[in-house]
Amino acid sequence: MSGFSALKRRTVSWIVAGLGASVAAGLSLGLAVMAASQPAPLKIVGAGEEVDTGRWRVAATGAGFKPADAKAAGYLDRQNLLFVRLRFTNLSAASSNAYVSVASLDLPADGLEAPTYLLARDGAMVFDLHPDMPEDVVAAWKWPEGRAVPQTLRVTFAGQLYKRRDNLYGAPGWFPADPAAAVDLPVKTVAAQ
Amino acid sequence: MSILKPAAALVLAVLALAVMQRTAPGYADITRPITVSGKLGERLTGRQFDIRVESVRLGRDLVYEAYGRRQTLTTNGVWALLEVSAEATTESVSIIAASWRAPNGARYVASKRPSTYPGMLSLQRLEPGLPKRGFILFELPRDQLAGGTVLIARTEFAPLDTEFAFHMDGIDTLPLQGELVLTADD
Repeated sequence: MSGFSALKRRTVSWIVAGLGASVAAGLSLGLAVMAASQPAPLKIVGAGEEVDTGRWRVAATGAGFKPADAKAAGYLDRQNLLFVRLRFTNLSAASSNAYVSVASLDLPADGLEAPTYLLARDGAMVFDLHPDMPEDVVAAWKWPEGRAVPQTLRVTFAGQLYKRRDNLYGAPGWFPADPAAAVDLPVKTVAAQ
Repeated sequence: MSILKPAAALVLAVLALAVMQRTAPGYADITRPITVSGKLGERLTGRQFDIRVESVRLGRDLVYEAYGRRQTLTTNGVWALLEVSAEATTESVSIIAASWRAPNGARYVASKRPSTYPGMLSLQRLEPGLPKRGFILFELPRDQLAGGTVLIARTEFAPLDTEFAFHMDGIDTLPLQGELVLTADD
């Protein structure tokens, strides 16, 4: 008889524990679905306004189009270039080249190659950007011959999120998050030099 | 009375889980490299190579020649150029990871900008019995020089492998050159 009551008690415990876990899992799923169904409206900032994307503080100060110069010595100068001037500050604790995934162009049927990043002050290629050392850079996209150049350009800044422990290894790292903001920039055509 | 005992057990279990969650070492702690510490000018020996930071120079612009062209690299901080000598212990090895641990805790990874200059340490291969000299270059904010430590390892992710830590005492008192010329002889 006592064996039966112990079994009954254990069964009740299992059911209660199972119900608790189910409620927790259901609640988590419900909240995730709710958050996904009501995305927060994308924040639109002005030119030059700084945005905190988590890992980077970034501002887009201008955009332009530079037609190809067939006689130029440099490879990039011989291409049509759509460019955006950006100012990055690395807010993380280590040098990184992850700035390349921050700014993206919001263009219909975008089939452009990844941009080249150049330092604004001396035109050198950008490698890592270091913590707390703000840099002005130019992101240049090769623009296909004959494709109409947009009058205005929307640049979206991707967010990045720090996890002290990721879900796979329990290692610290930065992970993609929702877009932090977007900026609309007029595109000014500059003369090829 | 009967409810007190399970409630106390529940509170204890939650507490124990919270303590375990807070104190369990993370992946980075479990796999962290084994540090060998020393000072500027001291030769340190690790598992695959030994190394000595011979000298440090500071400058505003970095000038070097590669493929017959004079290159100038600017920075909005300062350049810290380390000349090191290193030698592999048992087998050929390349050293590709160096960083500056600043007093504020940030890690400044060695600059890859003079990538065409063959004298950079990261472009060389070390052989046992053949000591080599090479450069390591950092781009740093001026206020993060004093109290900095240079960390050198074979690769950026070196789990349970040697990581050398050179304390750069007195570096902030070095003169700041306008043009730092990247040559092996001066």
